[in-house]
Amino acid sequence: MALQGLSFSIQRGESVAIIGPNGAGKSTLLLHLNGILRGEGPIRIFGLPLEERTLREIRRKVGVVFQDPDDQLFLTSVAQDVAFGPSNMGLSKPEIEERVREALAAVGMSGFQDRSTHLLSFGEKKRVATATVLAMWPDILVLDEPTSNLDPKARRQLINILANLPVTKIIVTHDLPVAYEMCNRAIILSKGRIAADGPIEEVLTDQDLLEANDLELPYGFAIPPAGIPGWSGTSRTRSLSRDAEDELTEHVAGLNHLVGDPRL
Amino acid sequence: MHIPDGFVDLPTAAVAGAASLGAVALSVRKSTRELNERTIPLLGVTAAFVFAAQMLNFPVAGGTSGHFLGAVMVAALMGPWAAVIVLTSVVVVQALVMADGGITALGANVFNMAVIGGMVGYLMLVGLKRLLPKTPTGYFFSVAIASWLSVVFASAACSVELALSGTVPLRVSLAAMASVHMVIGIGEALITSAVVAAVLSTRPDLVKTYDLPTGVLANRKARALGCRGRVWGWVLAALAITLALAVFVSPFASSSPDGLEKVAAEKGFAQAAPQPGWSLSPISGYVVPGMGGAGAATAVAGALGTVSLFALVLFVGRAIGRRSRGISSPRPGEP
Amino acid sequence: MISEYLTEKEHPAGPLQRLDPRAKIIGLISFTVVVVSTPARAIWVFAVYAAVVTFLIGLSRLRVGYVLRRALVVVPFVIVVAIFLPFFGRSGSGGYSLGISHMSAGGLLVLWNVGAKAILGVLSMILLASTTPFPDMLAGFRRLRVPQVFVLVVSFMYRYSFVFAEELRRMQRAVAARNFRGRWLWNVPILGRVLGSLFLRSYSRGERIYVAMISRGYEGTIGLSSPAVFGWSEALFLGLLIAVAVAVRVVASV
Repeated sequence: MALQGLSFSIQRGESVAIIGPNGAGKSTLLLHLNGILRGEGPIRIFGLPLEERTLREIRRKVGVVFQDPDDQLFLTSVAQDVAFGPSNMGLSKPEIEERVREALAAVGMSGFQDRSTHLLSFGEKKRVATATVLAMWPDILVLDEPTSNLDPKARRQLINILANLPVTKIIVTHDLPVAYEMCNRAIILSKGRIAADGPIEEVLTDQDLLEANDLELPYGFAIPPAGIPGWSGTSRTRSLSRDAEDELTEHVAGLNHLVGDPRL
Repeated sequence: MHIPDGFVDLPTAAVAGAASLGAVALSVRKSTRELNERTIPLLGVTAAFVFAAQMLNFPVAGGTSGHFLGAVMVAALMGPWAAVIVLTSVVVVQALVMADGGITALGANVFNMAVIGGMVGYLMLVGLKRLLPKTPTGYFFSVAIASWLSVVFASAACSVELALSGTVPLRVSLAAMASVHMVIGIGEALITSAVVAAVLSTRPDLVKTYDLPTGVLANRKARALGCRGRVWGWVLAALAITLALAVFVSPFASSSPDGLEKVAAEKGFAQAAPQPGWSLSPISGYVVPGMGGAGAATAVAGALGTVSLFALVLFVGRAIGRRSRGISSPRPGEP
Repeated sequence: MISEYLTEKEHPAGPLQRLDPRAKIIGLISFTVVVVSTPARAIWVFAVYAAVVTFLIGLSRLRVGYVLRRALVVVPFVIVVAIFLPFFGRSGSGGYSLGISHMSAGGLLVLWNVGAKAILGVLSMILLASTTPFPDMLAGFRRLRVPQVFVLVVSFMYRYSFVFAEELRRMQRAVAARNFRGRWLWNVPILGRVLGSLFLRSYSRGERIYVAMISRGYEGTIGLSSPAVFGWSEALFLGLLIAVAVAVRVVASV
């Protein structure tokens, strides 16, 4: 999917949902965010031009949690896998261990260090996959379809964990309720362009907009009228209380006619 | 075909192990040249694929089954060095984790499955590709024949190792192992060519040994071949079974069982047996069972048989391949 | 099936489990080599070996049923040799007696030779695999300077064979649900195509893994940390095991 002239900025602490139908360019965008695809034409992330020299820095700053945790967790034990990112950053052994502990605690997986990755349940794998990225202390956490294939309980656990992580988040999804619950802003991507960008309540209540972009709220799901605080508890209040002063974290600009990298 | 501990004696194991070690070291050296940081995960998943695929039993007849080896498949897709590395990894894990194949027989098992399958299989594939017409059909026949031969040769190597160790007499085991694996090899050939065809039709860039233009025509042909698999499965099966019977079973049957026993007794198997497995040289003091006298004759006959079989299959393949160039939808006839 | 072999939830705690994997790898492999080198006639020596292995299995608190079930791998091979028995000297003279029968004494000895060694070898490997979680075993091999390529390929293979075996099972089920019954050799091409698409899936999985790896800063090396020390207990285990095996082996051939 070709992306063209995309640019958006995200403030620190903000949670942004990127929604759109299949084939809208969501995955392509995601792969550009930490320089796996470089495209044609200039790309800037955090104001840094995306090039060989800055790649390391950008990949540290933007952590991507991929959709299938089996793609992400490739080592045999949980601790080894979580340590993979930090060790690529050249950290010392004690630092790495500290980060592994911390990241696993953040996703509620303390004590799973020595477990084999393949023996985890799907929900546990998703959480460990998130930890593998958290251990790199990213400035932005990018989550690709975090709730896909989870059963309701695991989904709820993951949502609560993610909502409580004090980090800027970009959530790429077509699970609109999750987007609504976890994000305060939504960007609709359609045919490689930004079709809408605004507060999530506005975007998700605009029937015409959703329909025009092949999106639909699940049957029976309604956005509660403004003023009724949080049917879904802490997460919403948290993500709403963002610090608007703390400006500018991200820029993705000038992606022109991107064609998939032949290596992929 | 995973030889357990004790079935090969230490000298044989050491020789096979040294050969395997050399081949593996060569593969690692060769592949590190073309290896980049991207190859390792891909080799790893290929090994996992082969590991999983080897769990799949394919039917042979009624309830009996064989299992996939996959060496020529990896060689066809990723080249001989990758095939040796992948198959060695598979065999080592099977020995260490599943206790499938003895740890002292590891060298022999790696030799039979990784080295013969990967390297010899690859060489046969390349050689056949030269001999057969340069068409997709020719290519698929090379793949099929090379994978069939890889299984037969591996089983032959296995019986030679067992015979050198004094575990089973060569004549008996070679005939039995080879004829069984001639049938199992058909499954291997069918699966390998189906896999290669499937990959070629969607990701021709992944098939390293396919150097014909991968245009629309080639893809269509590859797909068509996949569909016709059933038909030429029959052909190959009929061919191989007939020949297997002709070459191996008939001389075996013609010399009566009594005769065989007599030969075994005469040729010193009785003397050999009391000290199996610990003589310090592979042929120390006793006649390798089946290698002397009548045994040698049979072995030579077997070898000749294999060669003539090879030639025949090649000839048929050539004929079919040539016809397919002229006719739009070739249909190989009965042999 | 695969998970039956490769899970470590079967492993209870025990003294062997705590040892550095290197000691177990070297110790049990050397033990097997010594066993295989022992002349078959020395039956009592095999009894000693069996006692050693049994002791170690008991020490590791492995369940007998589990060990025996896994040891069954060797049975087909022993049966094959048994089938070949009539082809060994059955001439009545034998020249050597087991005390059971003069008939096919040599053949019986061969059978005993391969059977005893195969079972002891299999038990040693089961002992190694069941007391050493696979990641630890890999770390052990890495410390024993096995080339990095192999350690990594094997590590990936271990990790993903579960995923692929499961995918294969699902695909087979889907094929069976549409009335495919693989009974004969000519059904094999269908299985071939199942495997073909499994390969394609595996390969694109590999490509996705690579993407996920580089997005975490992968640049060609994977540092696997694993705390392990080769201490006194390791030395003791290794020394005792090899000493006992070599001692009885030497006595046997005197």
